Amino acid sequence: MSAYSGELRKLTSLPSVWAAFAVGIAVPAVVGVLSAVSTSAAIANGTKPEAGPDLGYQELAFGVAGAIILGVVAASSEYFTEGESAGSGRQITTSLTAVPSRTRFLLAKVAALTTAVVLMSAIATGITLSCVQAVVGDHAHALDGAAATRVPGVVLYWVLTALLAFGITLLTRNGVVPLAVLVLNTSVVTVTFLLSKVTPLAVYFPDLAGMRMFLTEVRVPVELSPITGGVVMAVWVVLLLACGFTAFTRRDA
Amino acid sequence: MTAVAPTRARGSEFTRSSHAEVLKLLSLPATLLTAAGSLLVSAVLAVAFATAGRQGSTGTASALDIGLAPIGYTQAGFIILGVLAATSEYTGGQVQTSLTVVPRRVLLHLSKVVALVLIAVPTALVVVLGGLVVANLVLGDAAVVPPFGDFAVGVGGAAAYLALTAVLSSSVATVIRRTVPAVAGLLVYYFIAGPLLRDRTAFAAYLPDTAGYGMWFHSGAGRFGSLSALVGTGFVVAWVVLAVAVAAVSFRARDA
Repeated sequence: MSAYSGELRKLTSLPSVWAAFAVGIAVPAVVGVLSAVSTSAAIANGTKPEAGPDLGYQELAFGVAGAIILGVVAASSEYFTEGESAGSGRQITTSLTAVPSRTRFLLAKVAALTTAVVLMSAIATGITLSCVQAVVGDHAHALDGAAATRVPGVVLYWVLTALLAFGITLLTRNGVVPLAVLVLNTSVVTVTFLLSKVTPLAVYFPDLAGMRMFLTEVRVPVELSPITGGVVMAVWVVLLLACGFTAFTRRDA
Repeated sequence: MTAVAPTRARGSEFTRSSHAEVLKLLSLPATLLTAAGSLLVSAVLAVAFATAGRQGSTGTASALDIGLAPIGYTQAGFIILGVLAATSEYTGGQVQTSLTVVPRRVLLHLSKVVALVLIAVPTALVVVLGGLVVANLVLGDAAVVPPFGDFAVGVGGAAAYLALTAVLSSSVATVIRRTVPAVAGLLVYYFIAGPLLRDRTAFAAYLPDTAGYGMWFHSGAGRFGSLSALVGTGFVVAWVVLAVAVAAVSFRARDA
C-alpha cells in the first residue's frame, strides 16, 4: 500500500503527467464541441436528419493520446538520465532501493497508473459527452440508454491503452519509440485501419478491436462484438505486460 | 627549436561549426535508426495505400498521389529527427562543451539548423522515392503515371516539407530541451490536434501541417485547406523562420 501511494505521488509530481491530463481532457472536449456545432448546423439546415450515434465517442477515441503519454511517462521517467551536475543518476536505482521487490514495485506502478487513467478518462468522458449533449440538444445520442455500457467501454479502452504503452516502454526503456508508434496510430486515419485494407486480420490489432467497446461505426472488413473486441485488446495488453514484467524482473535495472 | 605555427582550420567560423554539427548528427545512432525507421514505415504504408488504390478505395489511381500518401505518417520520423538533433545536447551536459568550443550562441544555433537541413533533405528524398517505388511496384498496371514535371514537383515539395518539419521540430525542442515532452507535444499536434482541426475549422489552413499539404498533395487542394501550393509553402516557411528565430533568442538568453 505504501508502494502504491508512493507511485501515485511520483505520478502527480511529474509535469508530463499534468500535460497528459490536459491533452486527454481538452482534446476530446474541444473537438467534440466543434463537431457538435457543425452537426447541429447540418441538422438545422436539413442536410442531416440527426446526429450520428458516435458523435462525442469518436472524439474520445482521439483523447486516448493522454492515456498513451501517461503510460509511457510512468515507465520512461524512471530511466531518464539526470545531467552530469546531478550525478548522471536514474530514478530507477532509487526506486528499487526503496521497494526492492520488483514484482511489488511493478504492481504498485500498474495500480497507480490505472487509478490515474480511470480518473482522467472519467473526467474526459463526462465533460465531452455533456458538452456534445448541450450543443446538439435533443438530437444527441451521447447520453441515451446505451451510454450505460459505452461509457465504461471508453474508460476500459483508455486504461488498456495506457497499460499497453507502459508495457512497451518497459521493454524499450525510452519513451520515443512507444510514443511515435502509439500516437501515430491514434491519428484520424490510423495505421492499423490502413493495414485492414491489406489484410482482414488487422481488425485484431488492439486499438481496432478495443474501439468496438464504444464505437458503433468502424468501417473494417470483420465486425467484432464489443465483448470480443474488449477481450482481444485485453489479451494483447496481458501479453505485452507479461513481456515487460519478465524483462523488468530479469534485466539489470 | 622551431616554433610551431598555429594551425588554422580553413573556412569561416560558420562553415567549420556547421561541418562539426553535421559530424555530430551523423555520429548519433538515433539519426540512422530514425532514418531507417522512416524508410521502413514509408514502404509498409505504400503497400497499404497501393493495395487500397487497386481496390479503388483511395479515390485516385495516380501513382504519384498514392506513392506520396505515406508522407502524412512518415513525417513522424522527421519530427523525431529534429527533436533528437536539439535535445541530444542536453543529455549529459554536451551543450556546455559545444558552447566552450563555439561561444557565439546564435552562430551555433544557426549551424545546427544548417546541419539538420543538410541531413534531412537527402534522407527525405530517399524516404519519398522509396514510398513511390514501392507503391508503383504494388500498383503495377493499375498505376496512372503523371507527367514527369508533376512528379518532380511532388517529390521536391514532399522532401522540402519533411526537411522544414524537422527544422520546426528542432526549434520547438530547443525551447523545451527534453526529448519525451517535445516528441509527445509535436506528435499530438501533428497527428491528433492538427488533423482534427483541419476538418472542423477554417483557420487550420494557415497552420504548419495543413498549409504543408499544399507542398506535396496537389490533388488534395480544397480538401486540405483553401491555400494554393505556393501560398501554403509560404506559410510553412514563415512558421519555420518564426520558430528558428524564437529558438535562437531563447537559446541566446537562457542559461545552458
